Amino acid sequence: MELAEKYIPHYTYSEWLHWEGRWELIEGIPIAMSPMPMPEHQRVASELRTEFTLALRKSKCKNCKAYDPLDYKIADDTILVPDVLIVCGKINKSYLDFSPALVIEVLSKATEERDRGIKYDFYEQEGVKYYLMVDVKKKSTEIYELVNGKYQLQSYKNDFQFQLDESCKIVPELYNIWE
Amino acid sequence: MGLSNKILPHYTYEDYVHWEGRWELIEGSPIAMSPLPVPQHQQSSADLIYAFKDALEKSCKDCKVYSPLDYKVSDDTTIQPDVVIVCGKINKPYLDFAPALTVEILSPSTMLRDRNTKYQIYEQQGVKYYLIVDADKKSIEIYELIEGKYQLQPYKNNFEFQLNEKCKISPKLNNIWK
Repeated sequence: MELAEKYIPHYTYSEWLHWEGRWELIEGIPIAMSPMPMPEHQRVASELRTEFTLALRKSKCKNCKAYDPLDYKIADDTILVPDVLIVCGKINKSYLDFSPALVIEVLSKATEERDRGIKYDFYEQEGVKYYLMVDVKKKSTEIYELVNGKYQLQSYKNDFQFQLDESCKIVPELYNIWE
Repeated sequence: MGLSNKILPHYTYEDYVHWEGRWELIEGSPIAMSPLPVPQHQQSSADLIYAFKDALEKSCKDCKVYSPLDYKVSDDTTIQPDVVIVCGKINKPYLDFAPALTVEILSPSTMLRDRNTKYQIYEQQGVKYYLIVDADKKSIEIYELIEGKYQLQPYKNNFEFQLNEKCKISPKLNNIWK
């Protein structure tokens, strides 16, 4: 079947708010997050969040906290929901509307292209200092650090130091997630 | 920065079944149906269903009214017409053959799609009657499929719908504006 014109709407935040279920919104286009990710994907995300929480506690970082998926509102027509976030500063709304210090996306077949493509571009553009992409199949963690406004791939080390803000430096035990 | 076409998702029925809330799927693109249509829209819908049921009960055993219904047109297109009349049994959780009649009630957010996209889909799929209802104008446009193309029929209160060989009905369409 060939349709001349689909008349697809350009959705915005106020419409996205009414949607049931889990959706991201990228430049006005709905991106489904259902069904839930595979169990291994969820386990890895959960363990990463735990490791970061422990590291933040150890370094006594008061200002920065690790979060499970949050609604990150980048623009009126773009709301992303990363797997794990570290946010330095208070979140006063039901969504995040400023750049987190760190974002993690756990890759899956359905999401990898967007995680490496448009989301990479958005996080870089918004000044998210660290962007981690985790490949569950390859058991690998890529760490991109913002240097002069562009992401640079860092060499992964077990004792990698994350300087989240002026007062907060952490060394999470990332290797633990693969045990 | 713009989304390149390859990043645009192309969803199928397998994805669609997992979505919560009210959605349609047109050539792989999700179309939100929430929030619920305005009360007037719902009232028109209810009145039409009643008019059709009343007419069908008298004359037709084979054809039934449904509202709403998942009409799976193809693997990447599943739509939910406001009201449908289906002749024949539906054995699946969705309809996968052309209904005899379909109704769309216009609203500002759906009008373009109802008059264009869905019009084309119903015509291509061979849906014999397509009714477009404008609750504001209090009008019902009746499109009948003739040699594969829709032709707008003159509206009559006792318009005869020949749904299939055995089933002819004349629902009291004027009743929906009372």
